[in-house]
Amino acid sequence: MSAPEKPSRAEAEALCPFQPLEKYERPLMPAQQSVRLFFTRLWQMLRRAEGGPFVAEAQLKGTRLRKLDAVAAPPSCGPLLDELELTVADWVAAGSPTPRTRLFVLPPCDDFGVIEAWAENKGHPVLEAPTRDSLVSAAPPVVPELDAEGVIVIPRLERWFLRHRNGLTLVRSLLAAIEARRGHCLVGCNSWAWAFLKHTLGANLLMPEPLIFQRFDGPRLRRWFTELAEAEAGTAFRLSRNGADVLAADAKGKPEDDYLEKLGAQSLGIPWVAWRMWRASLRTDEEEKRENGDKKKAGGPGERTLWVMDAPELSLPADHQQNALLVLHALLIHDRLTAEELSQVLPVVGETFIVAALDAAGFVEQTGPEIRCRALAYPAIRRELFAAGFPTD
Amino acid sequence: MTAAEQGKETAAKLINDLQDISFLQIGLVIAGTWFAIFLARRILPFLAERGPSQFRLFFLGLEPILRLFLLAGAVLWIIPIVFNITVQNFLVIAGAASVAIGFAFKDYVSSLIAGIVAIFERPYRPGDWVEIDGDYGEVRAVGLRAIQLQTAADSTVAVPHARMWTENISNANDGARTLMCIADFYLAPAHDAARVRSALQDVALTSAFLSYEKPVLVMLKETLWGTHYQLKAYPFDLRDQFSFISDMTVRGKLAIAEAGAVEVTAPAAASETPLPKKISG
Repeated sequence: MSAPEKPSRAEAEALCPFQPLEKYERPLMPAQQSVRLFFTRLWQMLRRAEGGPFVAEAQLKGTRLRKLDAVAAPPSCGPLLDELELTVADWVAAGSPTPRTRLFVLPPCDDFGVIEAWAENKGHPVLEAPTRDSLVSAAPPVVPELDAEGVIVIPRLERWFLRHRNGLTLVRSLLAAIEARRGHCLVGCNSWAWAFLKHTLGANLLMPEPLIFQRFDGPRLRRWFTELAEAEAGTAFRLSRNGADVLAADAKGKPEDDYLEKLGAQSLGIPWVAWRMWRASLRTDEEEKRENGDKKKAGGPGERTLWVMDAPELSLPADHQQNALLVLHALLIHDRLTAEELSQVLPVVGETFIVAALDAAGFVEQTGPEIRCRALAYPAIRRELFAAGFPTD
Repeated sequence: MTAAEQGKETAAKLINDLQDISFLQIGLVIAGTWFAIFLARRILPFLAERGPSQFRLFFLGLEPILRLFLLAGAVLWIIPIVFNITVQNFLVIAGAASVAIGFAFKDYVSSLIAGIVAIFERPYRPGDWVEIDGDYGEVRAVGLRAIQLQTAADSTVAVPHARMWTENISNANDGARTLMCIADFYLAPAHDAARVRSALQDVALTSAFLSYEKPVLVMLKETLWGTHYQLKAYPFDLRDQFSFISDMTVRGKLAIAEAGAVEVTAPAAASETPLPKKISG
């Protein structure tokens, strides 16, 4: 992970500092899309086909674009590293900071690790979480002394507990150690884990002003994706359904199409979700023709066109939905879990193949022994959990 | 015949002439009302089950209200078709109805009236979990004369609305989406109560069914047969209440054993026996 270059003046002007969590508002869907979406979801609710795939197949095939990284390169967090630095620069420089602890609550599925990357770039010490199996052992690990000089970074608070009757001891000790620390402490936490810790431990009393990035709505996504696409000059991103250039805007800055507004709303304003949806929606000429037939679309001479497909609406099937939701909820709270840890935090009785089904359908993915929710499926997961009455972030 | 005499005769006539009564219209009103009620009874529970859980109790509660208005509308529509409505005739009809009801349909009408009162007072609504005279279950349907409870043992119990006049009705959720669940534990008195209490608190806090909006409480009291712990918490969906209690009980037993305490058993009847008063002197 290399240190990011210093942002230019134009880039710096476009940066948005983090804001209080309670001020975060998800981007709204364009009106016409909202009506269409309402009827689509109503139809899905009434129909609720049984036994079908969890996620539309087209969404899961992944991109077949060879040069995808050239037009939508990682990292998935966009300008967040610079924005985080912009937010905390004065606080880090202060001799006796107020508040001593800054909490950054980020939505789940952040596989890049914004807080870790920032700490590494700036050379701040990172307090690594112990392994999860040690959290519920007879002799749980001891929290190290937080007496180092400078800024101590705890990037993932969600890794310090397990939703198990013995799994809260260490995080309690950690919060007590943070409270006792006199110097800077920067804490990162997944928004679902934060909702849980607020309720169970009253952690919000210790860190009452969590911060979050500003939402990635249509204009922010357009700016970001345009910057990424500049690496491959001469490439146009045209909507498969009408040929409109997704990144183009007229002289007044009005976009040719509201696709990115819709993408911002679909991705809940989360950059890594939007980035994955964006990459998953891109098709080469050949791929587009294969999927939609040989329809001639607009495009200037010498222009290389990438076709942008509309993201389908995802929904869980009726079968075993309650167990599937319990699994997904546990994964969101913990960020990732092994199968054994999952069984420790779930009340499921008897054998279950839910995880295998969710994996096959693309709602979760396995990295080694660990299972986690896919960023691409997160909006659908969140919507289903909310509709089923689960506590959300 | 003068106009005054004609008017007097018209006023005295209780029922319209048969040739003036449109039986087709009456039939259509009855069929239309029946069909509308039939649709409401099918569609609203369907929407309640398929739609977002936030609206479940709203859809379920809408059905009896809608039915009441549909029936009232149908009755008000049909009466002027059949009867010649004047103040005098109204009193005659009311008197005759009172006699018939008083002798023949007293209990039935009492239940009907209690059903109407129940719609406004709301001692129970569809989707609520109530206990009436020892029967605990979910109110599946609120009919004209009775409600249907579905118990945890999957039995359906019909309870006439008239029971409302004489019985206490215990409503566990009262229209809310959650209700308090209690897991009971009885321990031998010699144990570290603070440790057990703390362990039980974590048992509830780490349950997958827990509602974040409500508190978790652990109550204990000494009884003749041991220490009685009550772990009280709320699930995020009241339909999970039995799973939630089971989950807290299973994990609570493990936590108690880990805390070095021992469970005891006691006859069910004894659990309600108060402690004897201390006799002084």
